[in-house]
Amino acid sequence: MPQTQQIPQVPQSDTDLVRLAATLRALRTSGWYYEGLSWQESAEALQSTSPGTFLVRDSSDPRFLFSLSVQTERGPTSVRLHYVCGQFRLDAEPRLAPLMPLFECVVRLVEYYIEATKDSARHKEQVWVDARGHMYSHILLTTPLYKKQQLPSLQHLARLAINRATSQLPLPTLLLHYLKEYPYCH
Amino acid sequence: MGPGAMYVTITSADGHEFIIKRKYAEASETFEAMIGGPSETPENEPLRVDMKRYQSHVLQTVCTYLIYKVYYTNSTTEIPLFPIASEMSLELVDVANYLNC
Repeated sequence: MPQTQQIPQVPQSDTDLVRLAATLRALRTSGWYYEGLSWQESAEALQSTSPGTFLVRDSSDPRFLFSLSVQTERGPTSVRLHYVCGQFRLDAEPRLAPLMPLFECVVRLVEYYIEATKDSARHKEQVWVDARGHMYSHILLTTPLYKKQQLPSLQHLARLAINRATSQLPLPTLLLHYLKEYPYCH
Repeated sequence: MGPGAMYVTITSADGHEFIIKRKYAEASETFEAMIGGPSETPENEPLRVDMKRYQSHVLQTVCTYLIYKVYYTNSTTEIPLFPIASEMSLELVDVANYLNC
């Protein structure tokens, strides 16, 4: 009679450690993650940029890991990123929180809202609200603010162009999902 | 000229020559190593770098990137995105890996 093997469960804390390490690695490669930047410094860095320019920094609130700072038509603003059950989401009003899209990586979260900006129907649905719950502006994320001391390498920029070209192959969404399910060569 | 030359000439597989300032070429670690060591180039000759594994359209983008990198690093102006045509991206990732830039 075959013996059933008990598969050990990975403790939640280990999963978190792996996921956070992966997000940190992706953010540090991105060129637009500013470790240790304060809210005031991020507002200063974004001040003279076009609306939609953004960066990710460490949150100044110890309850959160990261914040997304973005230039809007009304000036720079920041939104906290929540880490819930191994996934990241944008800060939201409590009644909307369960409906917010969740992502395993902060870079994926940012890319989702860049794509949403490009889609006119989705762009109208998503708005920033202020602390009193009033609409601040539509969510507009377009261009990362690369660090001026360390511009992205040509290798990295070429890698981004390859990734973009792959995602834009003229294939149905289902087939693209199928390709991305196993993004390896062997 | 020679080891103290201000310009570097880069030659491509299809016979084109790109002449860029040495300070831009040195934004690539590989170029820096190639032109920084002991040189057999006579004092009165410009520095030459042989890149005959690569075509001119790729090397032109490399030269533009090196100038972009030096010009915008620590600049106070808004940094434009560096455009890369998707059809060139595979060749570029190869040459950028070789040049370590």
